[in-house]
Amino acid sequence: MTDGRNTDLAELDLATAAEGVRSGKWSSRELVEASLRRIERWNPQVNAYVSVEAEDCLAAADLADAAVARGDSLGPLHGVPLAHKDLFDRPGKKASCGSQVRREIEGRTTSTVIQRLADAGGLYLGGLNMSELAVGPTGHNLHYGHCRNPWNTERFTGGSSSGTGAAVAARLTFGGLGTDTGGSVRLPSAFCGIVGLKPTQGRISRHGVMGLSYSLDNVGPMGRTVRDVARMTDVVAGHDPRDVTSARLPAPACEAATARGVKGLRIGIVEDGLYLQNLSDEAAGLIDAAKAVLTGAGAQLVPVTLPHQELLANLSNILLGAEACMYNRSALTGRPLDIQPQVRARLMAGFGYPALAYTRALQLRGPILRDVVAAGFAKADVLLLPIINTTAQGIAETDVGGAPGMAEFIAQVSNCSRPLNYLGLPGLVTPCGFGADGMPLAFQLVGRPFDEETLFQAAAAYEAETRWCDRSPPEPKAAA
Amino acid sequence: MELDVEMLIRTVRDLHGLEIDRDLAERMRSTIVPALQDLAAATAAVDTDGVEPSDFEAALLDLAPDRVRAQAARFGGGGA
Repeated sequence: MTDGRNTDLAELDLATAAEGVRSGKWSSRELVEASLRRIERWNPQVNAYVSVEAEDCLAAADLADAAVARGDSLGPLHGVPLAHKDLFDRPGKKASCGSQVRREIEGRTTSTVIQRLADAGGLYLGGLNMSELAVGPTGHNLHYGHCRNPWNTERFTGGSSSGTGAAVAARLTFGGLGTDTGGSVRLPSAFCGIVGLKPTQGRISRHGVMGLSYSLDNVGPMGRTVRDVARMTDVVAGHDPRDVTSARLPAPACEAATARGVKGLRIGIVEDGLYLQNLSDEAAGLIDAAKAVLTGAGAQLVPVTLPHQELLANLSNILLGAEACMYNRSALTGRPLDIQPQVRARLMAGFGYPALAYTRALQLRGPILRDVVAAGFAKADVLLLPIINTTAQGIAETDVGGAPGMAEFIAQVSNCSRPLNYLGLPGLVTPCGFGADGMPLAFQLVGRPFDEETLFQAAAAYEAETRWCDRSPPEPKAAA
Repeated sequence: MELDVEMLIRTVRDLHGLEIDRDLAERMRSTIVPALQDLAAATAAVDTDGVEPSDFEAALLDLAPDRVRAQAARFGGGGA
């Protein structure tokens, strides 16, 4: 079914879909049905959904449509179906966390972010594939099958929020949530050609979310457009008394910031160092083109030098290792063979860090953050940095025992993402074009702490000029 | 920086009751050693005298834009 103008409703962005429900142009039920039809066609090829709650979602859509008919006050996501990485608690519901070891655990609470989306009128359509226990930058998963990139189903999606990246890109949901401990929102967003936010540490509640690293975990919205992600951020962010790490701040106004433009905005760029290592020529060329677009819109480019960057991935590894071991100790010691070998090896490293190394890595965090912000933001309002250095590679080639050199490739996939988790800074990934192989490329905008609004301001100005978000992947051919 | 694999195997066994093979221990070591090397480099480069781990949360708010710090003051503190 279409909206009468030969448009598949599943192709709409979230904000447009919500506006149509509000105005009566289409119903929430029609949105859900459009998503379900598309899931039926696409999911066998991309393996993004691990569960689809069709009947419950249709019932919720009918309630949403009744609210419209009554003239009720409607939230900003009213009647729009959403789907999320399969690690958010809901009472009595099982979230797989991409694993065998957690798949039978029923939630005892509703995670704050899921509740806030529902309060804003969003509907829960299903749970999305992910790397096991949120460990792994590519999206491989032996338990549930590898998630596949909609732009080429032989390529990986990026991880660990692989299903959210694939489902949003393939228009199987209007938006969704992932989590980001070392790049797990930003990498699949970049590799799948969508927009994704890693917020400032403490900006978005983690109550009721599977933990991997107490110090580094973040929930982040992922969507087709900058405005969609801004809207979801405004809904889910803000202080949550149920999360002791939640910053005592109100929700930001990110969607409003998307209309500001970038005239006079100072954008910091790096000219050497970590972020440019291994950057492919085509990725570098597209980022240069993005700089030109932003300066054409009125922004100024400012060279910056960021200290300590080469050390930060390993400092975050120490925190991640020790804390992930804490969260997963019973599985590692009680059911080690139910965890994929690569994931187990990464988690097990946490058993080997001295306590002093862990506390030292925590102690260094504040002073290093102060150094980086002083150097990076003295003359810049926002930084424009690479996030991936090449397009998504083959699933088979990057699997265990894949092509020569792939272990090294995978080890550096998250080089540009992990520093932000250690620093706690916000990063917004925005698509910036396609490589010669037809696969998406992207950059990340990085802001001062709790300055998500400026990221959305800059990203929206760039998107308005380029509209990469209007491109959707061609429907994959069904397997013979 | 050296990290003895046999010691790693014994530590995991004695502290956590888990037997691991040498291959897994080698892979653990290949993660741990570079991390400890970078930790040593960071420790040498950054003055942490008197710094508590909780300085990180304070730094996040200290370094936020003025409008955010004003919001935090109205909200009742800012930090977690």
